[in-house]
Amino acid sequence: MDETQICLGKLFGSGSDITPPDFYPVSNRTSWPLDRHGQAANSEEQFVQTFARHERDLRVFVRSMGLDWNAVDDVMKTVSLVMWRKWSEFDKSTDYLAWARVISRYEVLKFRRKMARDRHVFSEDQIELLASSAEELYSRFSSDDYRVALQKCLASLPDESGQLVQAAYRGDRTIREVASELGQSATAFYKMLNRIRVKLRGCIQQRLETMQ
Amino acid sequence: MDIQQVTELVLKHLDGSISDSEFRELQKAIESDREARFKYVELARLDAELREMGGFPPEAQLTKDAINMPLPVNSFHTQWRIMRGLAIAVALAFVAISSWAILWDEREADAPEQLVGSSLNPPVRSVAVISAEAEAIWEATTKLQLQKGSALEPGTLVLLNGLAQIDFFSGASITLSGPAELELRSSELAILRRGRVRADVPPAARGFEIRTADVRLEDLGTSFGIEANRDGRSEVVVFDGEVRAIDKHGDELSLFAGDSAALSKGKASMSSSHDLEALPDLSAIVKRADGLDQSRYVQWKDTAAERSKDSRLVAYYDFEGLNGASRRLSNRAVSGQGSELDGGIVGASVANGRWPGKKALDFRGEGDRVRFSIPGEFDAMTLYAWVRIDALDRHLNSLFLTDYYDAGEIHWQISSAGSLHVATSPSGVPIDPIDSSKVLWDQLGAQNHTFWSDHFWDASKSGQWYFLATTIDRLEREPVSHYINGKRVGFSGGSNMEQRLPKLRIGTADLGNWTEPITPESSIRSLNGRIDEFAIFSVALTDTEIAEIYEQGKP
Repeated sequence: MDETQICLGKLFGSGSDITPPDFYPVSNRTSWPLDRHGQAANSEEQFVQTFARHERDLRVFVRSMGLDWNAVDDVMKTVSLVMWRKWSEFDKSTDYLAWARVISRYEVLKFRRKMARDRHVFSEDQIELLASSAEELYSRFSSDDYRVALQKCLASLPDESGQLVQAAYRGDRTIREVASELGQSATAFYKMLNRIRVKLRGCIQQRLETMQ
Repeated sequence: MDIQQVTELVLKHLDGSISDSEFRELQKAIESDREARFKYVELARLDAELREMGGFPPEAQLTKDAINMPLPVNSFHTQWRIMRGLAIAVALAFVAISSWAILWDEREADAPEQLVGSSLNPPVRSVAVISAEAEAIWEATTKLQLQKGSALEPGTLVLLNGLAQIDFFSGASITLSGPAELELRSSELAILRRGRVRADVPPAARGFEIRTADVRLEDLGTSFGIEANRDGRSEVVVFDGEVRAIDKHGDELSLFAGDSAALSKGKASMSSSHDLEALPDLSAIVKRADGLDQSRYVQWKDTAAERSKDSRLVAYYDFEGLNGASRRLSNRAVSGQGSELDGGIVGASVANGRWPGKKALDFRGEGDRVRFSIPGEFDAMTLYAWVRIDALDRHLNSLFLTDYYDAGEIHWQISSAGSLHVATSPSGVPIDPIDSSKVLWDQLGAQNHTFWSDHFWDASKSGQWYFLATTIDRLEREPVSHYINGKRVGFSGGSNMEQRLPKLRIGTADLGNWTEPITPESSIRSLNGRIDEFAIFSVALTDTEIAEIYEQGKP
């Protein structure tokens, strides 16, 4: 499997009920959008590569607007499609992430209208406020720096705390299941996890600020 | 709303556990408070990044299939219960898995990490310790000699022959039967590439996991065994307790006592064959006759048996019946939660106690401890232990310390100056609301209840057995009393000694060590000495009762 396929698998959620859109050209290369230099070659590859590089940042950004993970997954599918549609309009000399965030923000608001009745979704104004805060904060510290700091901070945790974080974020089980496997009540587990997360946040902040 | 409350609401919202009224509060804060928005965004970033890396730092993700197997998503679709198989009433489980060939191929491309072991200074990163050996021959993978007492960091162990018992810091203990190859990943996870393993997992270490290329085995609190063969065929037999096998496709198989199953090509399925030969029992080899004719010991045994029936006991550990292979410290209290409160022995080796033949645990290495999980809240408590102090090398030396130091949790320890010490804090460890990595020590000091006894120990007392007891009754005006060898002693210091104490709690805790220190600087509190009896009561015993226990047990 080449890199393109891997990335697209992720993009469209392999095994999900989403079919690749019909505008996505598999064999007919002549129908590709041209970039502003009139070059078609590698446009698709460029898109996929660029998107793959920034997908995680975008997921973090979308999450920061208060969406739960199912909603993040749904929004990201739409975001990738919209971005592909608009890829030909994107000026490659400008900031990709800024462009992608504008689209993501808009798609989150659109998505919000659909799920307005869901509990515990922020209002449009609140989403806008959070998005602005996220843009401000995330541009202050790059995601690469952030991840380095996070790794260092994770490594500095006592073994048991590290394992607890792993258990909570391994993604295969709910917190409640993890807690019961560790022989603890969900409340006690949350309490420990929260303490560790607060500790991590402080540690990362300190590291990022001293990196500056 | 202060920033700590905001933090709590944000985390609840991110975890999807926020209530309607809390959500409205959070919305207000988001609208009106820039700091609250930053808090949300920061914690969301942390949450998202942790999730994206699956809780592991990226280096840890560069692993083999065995580690990155798909995890069960819809387990209820695929989980099936194996019919009760053979009724073999042995308190051992064997699970045989063939995966050797597959793993061998993988190893070519991904050489195992080097193991670093040292018997002198257990490294901070170590996850386990070799606690017993029988004719063990290790492959010389490093220049370090592996032997009993060696602390083990994550890495691969190759046992060419013989048996070795390895204690994980989580409390789980395994016996490895050579030839075998085992990779230690963490104190809760090992990867078996070849050979046979028997594991004993006390309640406190539930969730301990052994993986091969094909299957993850999660222990749900029992003893079990695994064999990885070269011949490509494999089998599971469970004799006791419950083990969950999760195969490559994420399918789960719950195995109960008497079940047997075959495991091949990444798939677990029911089977009736079970031709595993028994794993040699290390305890039989290590066990040796202990002469016991001393009348005091016999006398003490009678009183200990009587004591175990005291309904005021929360837990009682007489340290009897231990041998070199024991990894469980049995709770003998007849009432209460029984074996749920068994301790998991980590590292600490079995040694002689007050009398020849009386068993004790010897705490020496930085990793040595007994792990407990003791639920409940208490208005009163008595802790007592028979302790032989060899040296007080730490600023504080653990007798019994709860993990971290949350509200109401008790810390029972001895200072380097030889003072018995008990402490509890009404609201745990206060954290700086602005910089959450900072502990507000002043504030902790201001609210902390501490009780330091008169000094009773100096180096000249090294090697002597002491009866140490502390009673706490939070509803009394003078809530705490310390006793040395049955006699109540005075205080050399303390704080908030007459303020009402919080409800007392234990939770997860260590005898002879401290598992989740408040800060790295204060982390090492391992005991240097032995313990051969330990009891927790839910009442404050009287002076007379304490004196009597001392008289019955003095060497």
